[in-house]
Amino acid sequence: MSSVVKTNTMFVDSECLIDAIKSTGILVTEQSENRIVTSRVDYYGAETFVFENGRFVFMHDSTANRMGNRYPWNRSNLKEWKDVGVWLKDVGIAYDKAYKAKLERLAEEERCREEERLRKLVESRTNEIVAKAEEEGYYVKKSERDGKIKLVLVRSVY
Amino acid sequence: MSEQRIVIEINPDGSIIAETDGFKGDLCIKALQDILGKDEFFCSIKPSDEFYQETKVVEDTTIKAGRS
Repeated sequence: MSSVVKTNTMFVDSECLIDAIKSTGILVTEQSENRIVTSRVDYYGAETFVFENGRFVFMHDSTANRMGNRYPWNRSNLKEWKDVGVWLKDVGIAYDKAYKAKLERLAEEERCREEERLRKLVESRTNEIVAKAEEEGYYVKKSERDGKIKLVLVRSVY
Repeated sequence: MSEQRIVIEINPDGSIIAETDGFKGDLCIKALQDILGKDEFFCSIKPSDEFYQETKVVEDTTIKAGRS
């Protein structure tokens, strides 16, 4: 039988989902763009996340939920069996944590990229201005303070 | 003989503030365009009184320029 378990977390990121699955002690035995196969086994075989409509949906045998610890299909490969609802809740908590960390990491990477872009922009603008000023006959004095570059250009006219 | 002076500050965000001294009238604008480039986007220009008095020897103009 198939079953739907509603979680508070929408699993949209495969990288975070895999991290979350592993953090619960379950292995990922196979993965592709649209499928993440876990080491949890039920009547239909390995329980699997399938990417549908922009998110991963967990496919499993609903009997496992109703029978709890008496469910016979999980004994071979897991020390502790958690029913789907409990396990997905654990995965959801770990996923939220992994997703938050990923967003923070991406934001930090973006901040560093922007900082580097501005550093190069300031450097190239400074070089352009100095070259142009010298071409126009100015004496150039350059100083730097608090990340701000100050150029004093002086020339004599008759 | 007189001295022309331009002070340019380049901020970490790439924006530029420039002040000129010793230029007559709007020659300061031309001087800045010669240095910064004619395509530079001047988002703020604050001319001093001397900017309008071409007979005066000393002008003081502040130009704020930014680049996206």
